[in-house]
Amino acid sequence: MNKYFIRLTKSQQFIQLLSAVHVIIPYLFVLSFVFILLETYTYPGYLRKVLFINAATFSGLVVLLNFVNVIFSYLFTKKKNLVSYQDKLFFGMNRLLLPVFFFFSLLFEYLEKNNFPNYIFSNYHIHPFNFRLLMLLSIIVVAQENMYKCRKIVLSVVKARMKLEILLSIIVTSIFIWFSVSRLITLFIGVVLHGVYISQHPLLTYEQKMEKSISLFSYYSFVKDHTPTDSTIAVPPQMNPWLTEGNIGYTRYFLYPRHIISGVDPDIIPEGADYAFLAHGEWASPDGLYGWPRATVSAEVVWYFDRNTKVSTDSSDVILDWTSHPETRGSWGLIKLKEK
Amino acid sequence: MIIFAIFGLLLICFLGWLYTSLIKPKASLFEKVSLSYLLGIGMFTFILFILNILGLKYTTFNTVIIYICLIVFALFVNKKLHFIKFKNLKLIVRSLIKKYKSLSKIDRISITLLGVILMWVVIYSCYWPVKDWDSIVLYDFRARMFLINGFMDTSIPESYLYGYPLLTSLAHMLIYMTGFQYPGIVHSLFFVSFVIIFFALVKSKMSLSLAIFWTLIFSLSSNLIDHAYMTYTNLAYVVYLVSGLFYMFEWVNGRNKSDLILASLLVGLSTWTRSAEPFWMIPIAMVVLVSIKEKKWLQIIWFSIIVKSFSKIWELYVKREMSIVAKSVTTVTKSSSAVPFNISEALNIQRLFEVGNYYFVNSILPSWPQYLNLFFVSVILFINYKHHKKINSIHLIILMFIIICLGVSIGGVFIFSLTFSEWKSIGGSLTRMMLFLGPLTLYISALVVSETFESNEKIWKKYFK
Repeated sequence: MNKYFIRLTKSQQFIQLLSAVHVIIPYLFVLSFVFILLETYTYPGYLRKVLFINAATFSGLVVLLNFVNVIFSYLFTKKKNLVSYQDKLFFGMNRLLLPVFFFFSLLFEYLEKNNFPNYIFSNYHIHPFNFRLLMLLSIIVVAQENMYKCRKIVLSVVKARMKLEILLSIIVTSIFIWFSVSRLITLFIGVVLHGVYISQHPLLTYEQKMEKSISLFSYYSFVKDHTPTDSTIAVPPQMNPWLTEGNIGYTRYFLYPRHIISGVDPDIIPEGADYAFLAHGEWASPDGLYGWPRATVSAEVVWYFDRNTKVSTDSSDVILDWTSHPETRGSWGLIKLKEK
Repeated sequence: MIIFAIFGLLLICFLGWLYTSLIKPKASLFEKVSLSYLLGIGMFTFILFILNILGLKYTTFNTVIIYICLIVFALFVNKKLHFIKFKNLKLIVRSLIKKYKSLSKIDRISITLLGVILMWVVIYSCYWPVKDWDSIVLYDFRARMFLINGFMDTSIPESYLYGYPLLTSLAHMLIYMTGFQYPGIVHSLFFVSFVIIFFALVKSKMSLSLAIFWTLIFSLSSNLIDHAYMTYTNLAYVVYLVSGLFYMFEWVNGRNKSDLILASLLVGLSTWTRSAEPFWMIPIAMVVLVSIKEKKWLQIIWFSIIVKSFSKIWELYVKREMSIVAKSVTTVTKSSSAVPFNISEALNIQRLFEVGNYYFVNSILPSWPQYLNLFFVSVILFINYKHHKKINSIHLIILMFIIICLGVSIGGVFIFSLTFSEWKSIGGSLTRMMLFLGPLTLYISALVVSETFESNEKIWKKYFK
């Protein structure tokens, strides 16, 4: 037996371990990408349920393992360049995939912004955030690829007298760089998406921009156009489904200097109002009931406002009865109340 | 209309420039540029407010007249005219371009990247109107109210309108007066000024390359860039408070009186943005300690007066206004959630754990890299002291300051938990309140790490040769 097996010293065993780890690292990186992709399709936390570790943590550990392995390899072996054939293959593939991940991150962000939050997941069952993780991992791999080739620099960082304060300084700087890079990616995506939008619509008016930002802006503008500045307007109570239009502070911003009043009972219009909102409700109603006011109202004029076409129609001298006029429940508009 | 807004902002900067030159004539160009905006907009809005209390309406005409008076006053006091002449400006631009060209490739890339980030923040804020909830309900609403009314509308029976001082609201109003509809530019310029002031101050303490590197990191990782897109008061508060602290540290380091004046004004202006936070007390305590040691009693008095005067005048104003609207005011806080102080609750261990957990979840967890780095920096300082018997006193003071701030915030949360039954429901507010720790941590990290690298320069050079 001894003829075929040479007893290795501890340091030789350690070097062999380093080489073994180095061989499996590209496979671990591939596994990290696969894990993240798997969670992209299933849900974040899926792997934790199955393997007791989530994809991001696994990837982080692989990055750390590679980092430590490269440093020890340079410290304890005389290899000047760690890049092997399989490394070359892996790094080459990674460089090809990086623009793909970047493209999909941008695309998903664009689709979410232009449709609604959660659009990607609800249509394609894909968690778009994970593509940013893939991109970040890909960038880190590119950075580690450079570590493989730069023995001198790595050693200069690690071996520079190996003082603890220097090592800690490197860690502090690395943490800041790490977060700056991840922030830069988010920022860059934002710059591209918003930059494209701004360059495509440089001359939008204030009103057009507000309509894009504030869903009720056109309705508030309509109310503003149909009420004198010294009027008192009753709005629904601040409860579902009128959480937005029922918020006095919020609504006041768009209608000031008109006086806004509100009550707590949806069945009552507060006293002292000249006008009242005819509000369908911007939020989901837990009891499935929409429409305000829920009281019988004697109206001098009622304006119905179509928020899609922004066209209003009016009818004079009507009595609005919430129970017998169910069509008003689905409407937006304004009521000029009859003086009592 | 953007032309008028830029012109208006330049006029405000000019005013700030005159006063900055008066306070610190030898300030560097970068310092003067950023301080001219911060002091200009802060002081001008405060003076507008004082005159409004005395009965002067907020109108465009009145604003222009007040501006001219302030300029004349500044020119009268500052006879040496320390502002840039156009010939000098040309020279300065040329020398900056020359300097840029002489930089290394990586420095030039960093500066370009920094420029792109800052420009993007300004472009974004000039494009989008105010759309953030709190701003619509309060900050920007008050600006629109002032434009229409010229005064605070006392017919609105809500104490909420008086919840925060008026700096941002009046700044928005000034932008609206120029006909420009996008007051977000004010906030993005706060961010730009803050980045420039950081660069100006670290540049004098480390090599230019390291200063550029840390400024880039500062602009990206201090959590402030997200606030530059918003029209809230958090960014302005952090910018004034931390800039004031930077100048206070400069004063501790060099005992230059002009730094202390700048510190007092900037910390004071932070209370003109948000007056409820208690962090203005810590610089006062620090000045008291240093002044007692040096037996400079007068210093304590004028520093405290300047810092406190902004919030005190605001408090007196709120008191007066509240007495007018008192009958209909909805004092939500006191009626629904305020609870009497209970000593047995204060000694309850369970409560301590709850507060600790709350603080951990809402302050440490969202910004854990800051806390981690703060820990590492403390270890570096400890090693320097233990092994080399050397410690930079200013680093130690900054670290002590941060630790005191942490203590004050934890204590504040604890007291809040005893006096407010729904204390757990506003975790986001705690996260935003502790926003100022990010730039402070980065500042001390930049100083300590750069010093460590630079003191081992020979070793680095040997390896990188």
